[in-house]
Amino acid sequence: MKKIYKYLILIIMITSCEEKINWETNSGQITRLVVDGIITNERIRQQVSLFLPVKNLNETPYPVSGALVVITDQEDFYLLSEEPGIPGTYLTEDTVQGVLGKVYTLYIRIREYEFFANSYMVPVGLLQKPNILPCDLNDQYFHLLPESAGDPFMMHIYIDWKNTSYCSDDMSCHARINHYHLNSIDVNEFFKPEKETVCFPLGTRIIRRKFSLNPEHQQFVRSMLMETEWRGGIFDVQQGNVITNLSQGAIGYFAASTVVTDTTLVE
Amino acid sequence: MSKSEANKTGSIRNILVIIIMVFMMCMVIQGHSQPSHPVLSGKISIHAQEITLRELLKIISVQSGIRFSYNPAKLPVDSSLTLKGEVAPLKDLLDRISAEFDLVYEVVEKQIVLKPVGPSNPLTDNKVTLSGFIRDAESREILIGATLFFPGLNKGTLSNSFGFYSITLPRGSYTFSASYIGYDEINFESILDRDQTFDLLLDRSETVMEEIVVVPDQNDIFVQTSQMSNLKMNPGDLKQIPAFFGEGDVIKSLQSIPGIKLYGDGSTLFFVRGGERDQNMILLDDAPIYNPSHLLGLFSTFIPEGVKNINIYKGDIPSRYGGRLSSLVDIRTNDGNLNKFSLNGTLGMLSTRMGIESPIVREKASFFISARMSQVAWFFKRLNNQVKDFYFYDLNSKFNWKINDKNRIFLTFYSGSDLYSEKSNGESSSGINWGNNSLTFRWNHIFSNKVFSNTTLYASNYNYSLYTSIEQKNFWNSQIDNLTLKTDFSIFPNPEMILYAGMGFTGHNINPGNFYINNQLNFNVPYVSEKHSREWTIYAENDHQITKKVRIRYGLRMSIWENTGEAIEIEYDNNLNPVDSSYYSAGKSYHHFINIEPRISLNYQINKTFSLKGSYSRNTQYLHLINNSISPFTSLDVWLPSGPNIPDQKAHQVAAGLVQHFSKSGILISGEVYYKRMKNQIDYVNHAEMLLNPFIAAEMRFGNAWSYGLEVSAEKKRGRIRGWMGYTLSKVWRQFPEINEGRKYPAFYDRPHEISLTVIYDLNSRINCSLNWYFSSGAAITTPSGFYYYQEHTLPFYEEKNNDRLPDYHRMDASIEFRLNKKSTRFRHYIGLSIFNLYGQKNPVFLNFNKTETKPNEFRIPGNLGAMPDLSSTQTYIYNIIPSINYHFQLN
Repeated sequence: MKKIYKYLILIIMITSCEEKINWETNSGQITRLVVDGIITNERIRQQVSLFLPVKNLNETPYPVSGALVVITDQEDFYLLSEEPGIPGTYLTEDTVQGVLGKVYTLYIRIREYEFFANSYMVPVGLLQKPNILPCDLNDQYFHLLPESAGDPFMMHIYIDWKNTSYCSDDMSCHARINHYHLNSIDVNEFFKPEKETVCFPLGTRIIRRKFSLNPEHQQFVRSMLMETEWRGGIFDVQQGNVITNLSQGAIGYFAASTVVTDTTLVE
Repeated sequence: MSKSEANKTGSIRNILVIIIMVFMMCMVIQGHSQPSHPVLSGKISIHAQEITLRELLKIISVQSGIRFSYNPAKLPVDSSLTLKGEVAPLKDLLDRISAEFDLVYEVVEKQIVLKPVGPSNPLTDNKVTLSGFIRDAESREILIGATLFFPGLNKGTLSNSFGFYSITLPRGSYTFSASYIGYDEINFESILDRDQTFDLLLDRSETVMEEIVVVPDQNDIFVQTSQMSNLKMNPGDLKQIPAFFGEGDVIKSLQSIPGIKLYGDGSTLFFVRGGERDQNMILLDDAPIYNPSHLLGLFSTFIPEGVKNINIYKGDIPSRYGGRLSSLVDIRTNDGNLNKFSLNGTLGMLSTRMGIESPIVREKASFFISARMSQVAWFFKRLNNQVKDFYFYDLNSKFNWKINDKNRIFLTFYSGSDLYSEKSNGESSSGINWGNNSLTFRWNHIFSNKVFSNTTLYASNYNYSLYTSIEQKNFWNSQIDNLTLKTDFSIFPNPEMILYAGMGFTGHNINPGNFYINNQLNFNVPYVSEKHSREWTIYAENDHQITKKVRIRYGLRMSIWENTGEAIEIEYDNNLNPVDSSYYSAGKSYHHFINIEPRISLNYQINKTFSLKGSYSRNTQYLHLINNSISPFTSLDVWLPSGPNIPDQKAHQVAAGLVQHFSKSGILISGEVYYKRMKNQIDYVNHAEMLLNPFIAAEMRFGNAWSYGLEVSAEKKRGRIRGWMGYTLSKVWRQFPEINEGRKYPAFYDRPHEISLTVIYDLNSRINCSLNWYFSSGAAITTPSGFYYYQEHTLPFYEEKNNDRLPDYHRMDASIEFRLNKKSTRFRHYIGLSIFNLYGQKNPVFLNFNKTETKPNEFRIPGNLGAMPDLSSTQTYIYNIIPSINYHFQLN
């Protein structure tokens, strides 16, 4: 089906073209707090990052330091401390583990400003066997076919082939893919633009982390994809700010997810 | 009284109102058309050749048993008249006697009272009515909007949409002219001493190239009419306007009209005076066409060779039309040549067109068939053998039968469709298909030389299907269809008035998009309730010449909209959370709207060539396209009616303008200013869920919009160099309490400055060339004010809706056409060359900020988020320089 649209697009694109332009935003600095935080059921250092938006693409975000950051489930309070050397990144102790059935509140205080967000976990489905296929370009390289069944989920995939003979530069021998499976039906998802394929050689190690999505989190992810991976197709929809669960005008999202993980060696 | 009971009572009241109005209208018609009294229907046989009135009345009395009552002293009873041996209805005989002896007759019970014509009434008694049709002399095709002009009186009239004209004048000897664009003006001399009916036949102009008009034709008449914001386009124009791949396009040519803005390149979506894209009614022989696009919008559906007349109203829409807020594009198709066979065809790069017309019974009945078929499938099948179908087509046919001088019927059928499919696995294939179908039956009846009627029955359908398996009939489908019966009357009661009145009934059925498995509704996905509605309309309008300088047209249209079952309606709380639902059984009326739409326009004619005009109109719209796309292409269209959760849209528009016609040079200059206010406009929450959502109404937001502007156009339609130009200065604002934090914002189609220029030059008798240039300010769009990062994604942040603009749009196209025959013969053929976007302007339709350059000039959504991807701002444009060639032939 998507090919059919590609042909239609091809007709349209017989003479058309996408090209790079310089487009300056026409506003001043946006003074909104950006929150990127998640608590999982893994026994790890849970992380919350605080930044300010940037004015132009590819600019380095300005971290927000010196904030008081706390996650609570109304029984226990977990204080997050700013990681030395990584300003704007706040971590719990490595003994913190989220629990299914609890509601977690993120509390942030920056000078006299206070921000809140709530989230809760739902169970995550099991990981399916990774579906690894050859890349079109070269049979020695492969790519991972996204999993797309069951309840909605988010998957972070870490791909590493530093220890293979195909790697000549450690800096470029790894990749991180975010993959999402939602139960929403959207025109611009169906006709989303093409995505860069990440190819990797034999011997690559793949670590998959599958996160559960509660309904509100799923709405956030859908909204985010509308503005990222699904934007730029031929049936684009109206732009709009990505929803948030943070108070006081902050943007971003505080999530709570259960996680399952596996590691695969491509042989 | 419960809500449903109130609705029911309201419905009954509405029906009573309609019945009363229908009755009143019939009475009006009765008064003007003098239908036969039962005693007049008997037939009388007369054998005498010359007979006195006294003897004739006796014979009639004997044969019919009817007594005559008259004063012999006041009637010329001994005067004689000549009759051939004939059998005629009594009424016809009495009409003839009345005309011959200046009598009037009246049936009083079972006797007929004869009286001489009374004291002279300067308004009516010394007047005669000239009526008939204006036609093409060769094909007998009726000509819509042709002019009949009496220079001595500085009076004239236009033929209506069925070619009928009627004008009442003082008895006398006149010289008058009939004219129509592309035809020779013909002058007549006639003694009009009694009512007369005759058809005026015009010959096609012998000039090699048909003249071009995109501004009003018959300029002297245009100066006189009160109609504003109206333009007529001759389909011949389309052949001469340079077009994309040489495919003359009815919809895209609208871009050259001030006040009409196309969405952008590659689109058939358009906006008129600040109205949304679904606020334009496109009628093909009265039937609405909901999506006039092929190949997602690269072409529109109408075959230029099949179109006779295009009438565009940007405002001041006559009372007989309604249902949309902003514009009406009234397209009339060819009737078919009543005299001889004719064939035409065009071979283009993307499609082939063919048209054929012929009499069935000469001067009585004929047909017209035109068809277009795309020829791109071969290309894509060779590109990929998985491609199964890849085509679009149009089929337009019309049959007309002139039953007698007073009755004529027309039957029009249109079908247009796009189908694109591929073999997906094994025996199965997937694809998309959309199409419009319409069938129109029309009956023209002339009650008298002062009363013309047209009764129309039409059905129209638009559906869009997205197949996951064509063989297993698994698909998503949305559909809208309607069935309408309506009658329109044109009444010419006296020289200064034309009355229009009519009524109609429409049933609407809408499927707002559902998923089907094996052609059965699939209940595993959310079901979106189908909607059914009934619409009743009644209108009356008077076009009145009050003084020599002042003409006023005022009318009233009433529409009643009823939502009926079978349907499920969701109830929402104040926060738009669904709290309940109601089921309504089939046919049950559960909600209604009533709207009165006054329309008035005024023309003050300063002199023969200069007039000032003003108008006010109110319009209502009950059908809405539910779509939050920002794409120029037509996507999955879903229509919904007004109902408990969706209010009716309303618009008020005032306009003022002037028209100056420079007779010697043939230049017509017109200018209009307008202000339009629209209520209950539709917008959507951010990232609204539009597909398979039973709670779609909760995603919608309602607000106001307003627009204002100045439109100026100048046109020269005579001579070897012809053309027109237009300029528009306009603003469009929208304001919604829950969008953009309640602040007003410019609409996407707010493009303050627009300039269009078209020039046609006849190089010699066989070659003509044309050039057009179009400029507009960039469309208002939403761009990010900044960006932020979330889990390695770069997210945009928007501060204002439509805070930015695309670059200014401009484009120049050129074409040249050669007639291959040295002389104009029955068979003529042409080669057309055109260059679209002559100087290769890159006019972007999309801006994106989320792609990375994976190869030179190849942009993709970043897949690897490990090292923060380097994102680029990109623009996508549709047209580069596009040369094309086509071959056209015509056999008459």
